Amino acid sequence: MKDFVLYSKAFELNELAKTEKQLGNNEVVLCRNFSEKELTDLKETIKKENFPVNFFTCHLLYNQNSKELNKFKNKTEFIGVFGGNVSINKFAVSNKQIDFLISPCNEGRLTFDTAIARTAKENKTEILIPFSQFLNVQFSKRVVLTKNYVFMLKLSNKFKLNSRVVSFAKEVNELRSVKDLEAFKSFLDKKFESVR
Amino acid sequence: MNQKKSMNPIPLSLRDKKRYLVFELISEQTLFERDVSFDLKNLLLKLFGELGLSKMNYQFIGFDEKSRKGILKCRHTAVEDLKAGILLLKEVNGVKILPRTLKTSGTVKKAKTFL
Repeated sequence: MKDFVLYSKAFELNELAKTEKQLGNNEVVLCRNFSEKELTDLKETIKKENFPVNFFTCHLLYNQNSKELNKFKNKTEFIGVFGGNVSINKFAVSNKQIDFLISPCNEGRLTFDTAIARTAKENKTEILIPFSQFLNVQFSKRVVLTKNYVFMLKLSNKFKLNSRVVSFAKEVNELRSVKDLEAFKSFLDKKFESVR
Repeated sequence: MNQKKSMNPIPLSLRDKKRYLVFELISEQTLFERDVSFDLKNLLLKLFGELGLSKMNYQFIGFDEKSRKGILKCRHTAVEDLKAGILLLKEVNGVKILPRTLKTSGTVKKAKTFL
């Protein structure tokens, strides 16, 4: 299972690889809104050095930009969209070339409905829940965020979507083991009546 | 008159099935057992509330300051919830940490072998 990381120049690949290996993660996807030069440099670095984990690249879209999508579709292994509002979520799931919808919910109103879930199922878009969102949100807003993701997972189970929790870390301290994140997903999945 | 001084033993079928969770806190600085216990309990209390935490039968068994590994006890149905709770721990007494669960065991003797 792959872990996803919000890559930035502040990340040192050696330290990232060492920590991910320590956590038991063998495959890491580096997500970023790359420029062509950044992507080429990163791919060269990954090829040259012998890291203890396998690195993949994912171009991240923050808005509905079909031109950018077409530009990067064959240059990176994956294409992802950073969601958070209804229109971007709909754009992400409507396009077969987009592999992932990351962070479909936020700490405000619900932005994931049955129409989006149905379209995601048809186009086989995978939904990724970033754990770093739970770490960085204020406690009072975390309650609303958790509620939104619990509902999203309810829809995901009903429509049999592929969804999982990933670390989506911006720094090394936000990384988590993929196996532990599965436990977090089952924690969100549980109905509250099951706490007996 | 003879007064009852001790409790009857609880039958095995009514006893709670417990699990011991071994966890590790990856950090560059020293972590003290009392700080880990305090911060972890506060976090779990915020997440699950008093009722939730009591239903989990949560107990902090111990923490080895050298290996930075510890043992928690909970009900067998609450293992996944406890793992999820541990993940939300960002720092202990101001020191940034990276939490990770290692093993789940049915006995404390076996759990201690993983420390």
